[in-house]
Amino acid sequence: MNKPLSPHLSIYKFKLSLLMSIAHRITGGALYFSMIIFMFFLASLALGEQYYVIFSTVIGSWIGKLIILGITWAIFHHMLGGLRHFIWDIGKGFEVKTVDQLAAITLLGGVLLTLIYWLVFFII
Amino acid sequence: MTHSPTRHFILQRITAVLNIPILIFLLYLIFTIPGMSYDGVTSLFQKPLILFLSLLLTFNFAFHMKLGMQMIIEDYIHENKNLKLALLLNNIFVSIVIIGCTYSLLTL
Repeated sequence: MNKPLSPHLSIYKFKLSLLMSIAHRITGGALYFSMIIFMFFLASLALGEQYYVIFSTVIGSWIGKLIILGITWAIFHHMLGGLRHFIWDIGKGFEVKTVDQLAAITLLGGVLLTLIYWLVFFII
Repeated sequence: MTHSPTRHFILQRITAVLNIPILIFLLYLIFTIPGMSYDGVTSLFQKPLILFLSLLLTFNFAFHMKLGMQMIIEDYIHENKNLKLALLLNNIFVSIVIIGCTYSLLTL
């Protein structure tokens, strides 16, 4: 393997942008495994009503709802993190101040979008 | 890198852009399905547009997942044998998701 390696994590000073970079991978990884839930949902539908009842009971429990809440947050966070990468891809937003602002927007925006989505859900 | 890094980069971005409109569809599903009966949900997924969007969601999410996890694996696993195993497991997981979702959708 002649691939260059990243400098070790411990040499970096802590910054919000560093945390958001890790969070992008963690939310991505969580969403990766969350696709199992979507697959189980479709499979239960295809298998028949008694299986769908089991699925909706599990997902409708408080822990199931908490997982769905977490997934929607991970989706919004990962989407904003991705948009941040698109800004960098077009060669903009590399100033330290902008990088910090983008990290803050990702963090706050993800939480805000999740709150708005579920508020609308419960109001309508 | 197992394949061309440039190709990986471009495919990663294409699937990422496509994920945004698909995400709106997913948020619509999460919004509407909880209050519905089994028959209601089944007939929803039998509608051609919903079926098409669900298949698109499955394939685009799965492809984006494969690329993203591949990048994480290549960044953190350097020992050749483990790297190959991890990449294989990634492909197996993503294949199961694609087959499971597609088969379920088409047998509804």
